[in-house]
Amino acid sequence: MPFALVNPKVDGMVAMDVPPGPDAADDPSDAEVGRRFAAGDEQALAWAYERWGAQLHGAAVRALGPGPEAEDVVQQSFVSAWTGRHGYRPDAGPLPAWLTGICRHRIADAWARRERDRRVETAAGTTAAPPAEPVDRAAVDRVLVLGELERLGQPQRGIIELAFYADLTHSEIAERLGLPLGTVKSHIRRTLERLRTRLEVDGAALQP
Amino acid sequence: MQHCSPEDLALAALGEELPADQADHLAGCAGCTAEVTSLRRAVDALDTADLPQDDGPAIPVPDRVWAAIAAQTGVSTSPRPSAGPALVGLPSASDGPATAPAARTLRSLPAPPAAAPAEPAADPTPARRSALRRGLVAGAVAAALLVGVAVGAALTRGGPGDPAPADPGSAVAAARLDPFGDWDSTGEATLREVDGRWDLQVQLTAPPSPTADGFYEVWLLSADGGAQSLGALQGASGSYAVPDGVDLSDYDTVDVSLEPYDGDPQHSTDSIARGVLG
Repeated sequence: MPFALVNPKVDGMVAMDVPPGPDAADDPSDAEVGRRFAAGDEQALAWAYERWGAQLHGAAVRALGPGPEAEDVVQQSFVSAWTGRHGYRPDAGPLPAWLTGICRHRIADAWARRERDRRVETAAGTTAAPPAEPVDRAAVDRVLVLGELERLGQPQRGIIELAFYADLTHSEIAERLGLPLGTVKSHIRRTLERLRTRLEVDGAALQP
Repeated sequence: MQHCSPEDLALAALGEELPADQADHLAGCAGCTAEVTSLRRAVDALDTADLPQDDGPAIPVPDRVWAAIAAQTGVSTSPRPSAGPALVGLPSASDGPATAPAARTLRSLPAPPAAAPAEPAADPTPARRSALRRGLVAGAVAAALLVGVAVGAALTRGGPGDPAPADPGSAVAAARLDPFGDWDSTGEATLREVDGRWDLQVQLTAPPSPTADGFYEVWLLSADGGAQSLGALQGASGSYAVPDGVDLSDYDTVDVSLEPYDGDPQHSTDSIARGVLG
């Protein structure tokens, strides 16, 4: 048989069975993981965590420092992603990019909570207010909006979350939820007005 | 001309495109525009576009995080254990204060995909963020550097140290594989960091001859005689995950051996090619 290398120590050119090594040849492609994730395959969640969990953790650690907060961000990101997997559309982009987007929201939420906690401590006198610190209105607003969203009933909450987080238009939301267009538009209007009121009233009160 | 309906103004605040008539009116009406602006404040509050893009290296996640994910989602699958450098010298979650309350309500829906064009990295951080991030960034960057330095110190052999963290997927060390003993196999091995794991790729110039007497195996050897098997070599090349806990500053020699089918997992001492990572 024509072998380029003739092994001087071992005669015989019979093909043999090589015990399988720990190679990843049978693992699915990233695109396949994305499709299976959207379809609700639990194994795809494990693969996604295996492939991209450490990357999300890196981003969280760089934003928040190492520790339980960064780990919570990773946890919340995957839980959010899984419960909202129907919102992931493989043809719209790769799964890791979608996961990164979710992670950024969770990081921003964590920052906002820190800012709120800092303000509470300052108001209670347990922490001295830093001198001449610029007001982080965005963080305050974020905390207020998140808090108000949690007080919303359904279907308002589901509607506004699809609009805010899944970037769906009101017609897509109506179709997804099986509601009339007019109903969805009306809920969106009243929810945004309610959020505006919360921000204008409490946002002003929280500023020093 | 009639003003836009409150519903249309709310849709505009969400960023939806209005029908031409309404859009035209809005563009020219201060009152309607002011209304949209005030409604936008809540929408903007949840925006993450101001967050800087993160392209840094992966950092392995503690196992407890998967346990928590599995508990909350109810899935019964599990990821394979990661093999990669742990955070060196940094406090673990169990060392610190009590973790964030698990009772916090989680978002039930995910964020929009980050596939939209990213904000240019060169944009200066808005002043309103600086107060929050001043203290955070130093710690996080120090953490990332600590990982990079630990890796660099382990692998650099007398050359100029590189304190920067390795890019995911790029080579951190390589070895030229020279023939061992009477054999004439040559090749090279490349150590890469991929997603928080160490991955060794072995590429021989040509596949070693098939033999009925045994199979070819890839190892990492240490100077004091230790041998860590990475797996069998099929053909001329293979890619192997380096198991967690293998100290690459000790096990720095890549070795390919011929192993008989005798059921003995120990190194046969019949190496065909070998090289030192550096």
